Amino acid sequence: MARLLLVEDNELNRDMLSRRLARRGHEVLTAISGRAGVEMAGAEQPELILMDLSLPDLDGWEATRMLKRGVDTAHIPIVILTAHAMAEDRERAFAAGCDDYDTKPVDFARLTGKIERLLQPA
Amino acid sequence: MVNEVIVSDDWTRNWQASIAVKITALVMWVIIVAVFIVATWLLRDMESRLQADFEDGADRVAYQVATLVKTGADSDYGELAGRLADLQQGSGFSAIGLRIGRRDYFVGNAGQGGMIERHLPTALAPGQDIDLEVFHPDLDGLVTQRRNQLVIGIFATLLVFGLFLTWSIRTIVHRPLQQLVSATRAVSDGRLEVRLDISREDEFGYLSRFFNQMLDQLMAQQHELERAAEEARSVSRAKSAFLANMSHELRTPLNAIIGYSEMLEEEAGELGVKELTPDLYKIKSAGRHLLSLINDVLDLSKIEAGKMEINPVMFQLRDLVNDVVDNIQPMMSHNSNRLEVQVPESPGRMFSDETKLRQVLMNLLSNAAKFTENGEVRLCLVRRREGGQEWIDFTVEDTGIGIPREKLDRLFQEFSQIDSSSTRKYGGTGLGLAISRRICEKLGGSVEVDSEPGRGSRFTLRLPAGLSRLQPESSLRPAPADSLLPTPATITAVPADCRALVVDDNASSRDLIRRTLQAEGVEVIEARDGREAVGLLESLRPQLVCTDLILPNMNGFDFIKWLRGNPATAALPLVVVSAMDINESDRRELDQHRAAVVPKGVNLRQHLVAVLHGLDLVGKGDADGETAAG
Repeated sequence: MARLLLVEDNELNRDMLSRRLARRGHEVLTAISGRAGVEMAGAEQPELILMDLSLPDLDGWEATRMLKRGVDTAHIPIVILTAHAMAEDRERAFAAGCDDYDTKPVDFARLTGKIERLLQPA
Repeated sequence: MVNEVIVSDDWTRNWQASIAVKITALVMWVIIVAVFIVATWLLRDMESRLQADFEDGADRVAYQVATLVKTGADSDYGELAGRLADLQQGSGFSAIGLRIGRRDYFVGNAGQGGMIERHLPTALAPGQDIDLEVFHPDLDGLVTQRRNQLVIGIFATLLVFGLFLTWSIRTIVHRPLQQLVSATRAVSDGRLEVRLDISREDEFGYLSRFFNQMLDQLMAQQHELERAAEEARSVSRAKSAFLANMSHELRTPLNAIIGYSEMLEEEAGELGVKELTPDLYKIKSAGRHLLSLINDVLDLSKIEAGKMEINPVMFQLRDLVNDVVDNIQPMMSHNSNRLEVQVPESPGRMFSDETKLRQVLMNLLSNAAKFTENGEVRLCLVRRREGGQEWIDFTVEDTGIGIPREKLDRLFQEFSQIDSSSTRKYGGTGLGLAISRRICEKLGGSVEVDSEPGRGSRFTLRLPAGLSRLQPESSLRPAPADSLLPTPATITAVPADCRALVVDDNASSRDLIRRTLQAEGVEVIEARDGREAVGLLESLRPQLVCTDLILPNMNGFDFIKWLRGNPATAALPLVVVSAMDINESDRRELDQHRAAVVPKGVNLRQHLVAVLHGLDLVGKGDADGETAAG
């Protein structure tokens, strides 16, 4: 299937989601902070990034902005995955340049649908 | 707006507006009447006094003449005549006439005929009678002359007095009044820092002093109010931040609970440990219930904070009903209920917030399904006209447990499931109906309930078919930027009333454009094709149009031609958002129609924002705001 990068600081959620995605046949890389996520995205070139918003050292908005500005990472689709459900958070996420947005708790079928849509060649 | 008050020093232009002129006029009238009475009395007195003077003078002259004549009887009459002439000239009479015997003699000027002087006889016979008459040929003329002098004098005095009065009243009354009026007007314009001159020691001085004190108090109170409002805002911000944080903190573990239980359910199925599945399902559904509680609380807090945004779109009622019915069917069969749908052959379209309306219908239908067992739930849709307005009525009717009459009033209030046992039995937050009612109000309509315990309930939703034409603008606009939570800087520059029409047949591009525009504070109306856009343009008058070029029914170029050809929309700012490869001739045509072009792609948002700022809609809104405030 695909190489995905999951940037998530909450251990339970990182474990759960990476295992569920792995069960669907994806290769899942994980990073526990925004900075680690940006570095890993540059080094590992995943096909898609799942990004939490509240992250230590570099938050999800800033990490997304950096990834979308980076020459070698701008093309990687980013799905923001967050427990922030307020409209402003969503607007800010889109303003930062993310390609899609979903709220936690994750509706797994909806999330996999979004991932598949973004992975389809344009 | 209050009528403009003219406070002008030029009373000739608007004399009725000046108290000084009014007072002067009143005082002058009183004086004129008084002077008239006094003058009449004076004139009458003058006449009688002149008469009396005349008679006195005549007596005196007669006596003197008699004395002269008697003493001069034996002397020279020439000398007598000279003395008489002296007497006449000294007396003020124009002539003295003497009748001696049968002959008349005059001394002085008798009548109009000039000097008639006939000399006295050289000798007077002894014992001869002398009749004496004195003449004043123009007594009436004298009276008239005196009267004219008096009247002219009076008028001259009145004129001088009147001018003085006007001047002094203007100084004493008009100036301070004028200052007071200007100050009051300044205050009513919101300039509380004006102060009056308090150097006078009269009533105006006191008035000014108290006026200034009042302003001091007003300023203090305003300051206090601003402080209180700021405090309230910060409390509200804190509350919202707390809610957002709480929601976040609750969602994070819930994500793990639901995620793991779903995964375990799958794994249990794969491993064939079927006996674990029901318990795992219970964990999962309890987690989902908790999530719906969090969502409801968050929804309600958004509504309460005035943050619920209404995004009206044009949609087919048939599609909405089909969608809702598909979604509710599993719940209906869960309680063995039958769902009956009564919708007219072609219910037509509606311009409202489809998502919010779907939420309300789902809430009403899921309540009906929840509180009814082995019964029937009916969903009806009726389109009607009332007061020149199209309305859509939805009715959700069930044959369930019903609601006691005394509980009906509280039904739409927050946390008001009819009793706590029903919460335990049926689940739910008791927030659904409260949220539904608030949404209906936001959509310009209402929701009503009618019920009989044991027989069932009927909820009726009445909503306008066209939202903006009924709703006050304010509820369609995003909440003011300062109300809650930190917001991106762009939202602070919300134009006062900018509305954009977005025309695109692709739902996801429409959504992206809408979100971009909304983030810039622009209200968005959506249309799916050129023909729908034409209808909306005429009825909703947007200030900006964003359109795709490839559209069903009426393509983008035709739509743009129509737009530019219509006087009402010819000058509208126009942005073409298209994925089409625009060739040279298309480009020329778009330039000719003054259309900015934003290519669809990764940087659509940035491009669109840049174009939007180039259009200066944001800046213009601000400037307008300034003028309106100043």
